[in-house]
Amino acid sequence: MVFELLLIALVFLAVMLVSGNNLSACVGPAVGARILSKRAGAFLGVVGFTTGLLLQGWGMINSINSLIPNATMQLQSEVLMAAIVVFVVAHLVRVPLSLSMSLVGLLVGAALAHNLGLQASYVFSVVALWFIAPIAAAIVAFYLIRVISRQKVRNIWRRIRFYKVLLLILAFTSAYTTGANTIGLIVATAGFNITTVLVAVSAVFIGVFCLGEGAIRRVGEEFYLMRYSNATVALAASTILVEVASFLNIPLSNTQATTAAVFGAGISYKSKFLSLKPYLIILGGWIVAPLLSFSIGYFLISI
Amino acid sequence: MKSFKRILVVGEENIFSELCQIIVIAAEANTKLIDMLDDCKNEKCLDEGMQAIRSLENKSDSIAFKVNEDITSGAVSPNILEHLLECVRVADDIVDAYYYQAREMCRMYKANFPYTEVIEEDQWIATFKSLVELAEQALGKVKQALLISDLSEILQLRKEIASLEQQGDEIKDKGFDFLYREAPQMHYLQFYHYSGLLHKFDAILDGCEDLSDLVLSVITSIIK
Repeated sequence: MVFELLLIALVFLAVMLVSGNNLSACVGPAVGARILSKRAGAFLGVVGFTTGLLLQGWGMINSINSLIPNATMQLQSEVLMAAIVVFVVAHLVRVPLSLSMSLVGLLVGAALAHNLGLQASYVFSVVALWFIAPIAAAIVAFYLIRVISRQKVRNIWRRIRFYKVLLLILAFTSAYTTGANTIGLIVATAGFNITTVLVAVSAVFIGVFCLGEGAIRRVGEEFYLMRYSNATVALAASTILVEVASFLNIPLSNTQATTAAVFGAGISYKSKFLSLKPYLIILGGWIVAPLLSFSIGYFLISI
Repeated sequence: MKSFKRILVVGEENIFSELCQIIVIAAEANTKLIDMLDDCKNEKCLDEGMQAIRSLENKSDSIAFKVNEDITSGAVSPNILEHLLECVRVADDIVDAYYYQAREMCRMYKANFPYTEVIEEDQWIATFKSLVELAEQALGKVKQALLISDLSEILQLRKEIASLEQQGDEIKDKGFDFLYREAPQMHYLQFYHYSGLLHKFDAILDGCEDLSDLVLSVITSIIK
């Protein structure tokens, strides 16, 4: 009973953090472009996260069954608690870190330590997708920008209107895929049932309106400094890849795909001024987060 | 439905249409200045022209203030915000230049240096009128560039405005050659007056060219 309550509390906390943290990346461009108000953006985020979780989030049960089958409630709680601690510490020391990558590292570490019958082939496919997805996102964004730049524009304003509508749709789909993938993974870690889903939905509301709204405009405007086409292409590439990953029941970080797509869009121009430092820090985070989490999962949780 | 319409609002397009109002005012000021040059020996005409241009300048200032507000608070991409604010400043400066010209002409008349029947003065008026005519054409093209939505047409208009500015530069240079030749027979106030007018007429054409460059820059940065 204690672990059941703890698990519900941890799901609430983890989903709240993820939805607050990912809101700006999903709806930020639409808010930054002033297509939506901050409040409407937050509402769209809530609808997207919730719809994704309800319609496709259950797919992550397969992921959990492959990573940590037959786990006890105590182990599930320990994994979620460790993931939250890692995420909060990384946030406090300002290191970009994906909760889904960290959670997968912890699950694999804990499964190996407890000899729970982890499916090695599934872990390989997850790791393979983590390498393939950013490269694919960068390539898709690179060529999409090239194609867009080559196209002759007959009506400038019609084109901008098209971008704006597309950005709005992508804001929703991006939130949807985050709901289906990362939030779905968190809920599935604790067992995908009515209680955890309801707790997650309420956590989405609180996370979005209490933690996410403040950063929307700032992140959105920074994101938006990339121009309409870049923002649209980056969101489209990340949405497609995260949706494909969700379809394959593989956890994939939305921010990982978006960052790679932003990079791909940036290098597609003939004359460019790119600062590589932030990308290298993020890349370092992608490697360190799962490995560190794996170590925590293997050594600490097994103690 | 209302919310969907709001989504379809392209802030940059609206800003350009608002900016167009300032260009229309500049064109009106241009017409008033042509009238003043046509009847530059008539104090009443100069005074009336100057008053009319002053009210146009005030109108332009209030539109510029409103457009600046719309830029900073509207649905405008943040990466072109500075460029749009610069567009407003340049457009308003064009109207300011007309007001300066009008005031300078009145001031000179009241300083007991009215334009006379001397041949040289006719030449000055002809020079100024040819610059004003170029400005009229340039303003018309700037207005078109602000209203159309075809990038290739905007590129063409920008070329035409640049060519008008070049023609203006040549007229101004010839004007200065003439001014320096005539300088020994001139009162220093007359020298200052002609020199100031030549510079300001050129500034109007420069403003049109700068504005067309800025419009193109804004459009290419949002579209590519």
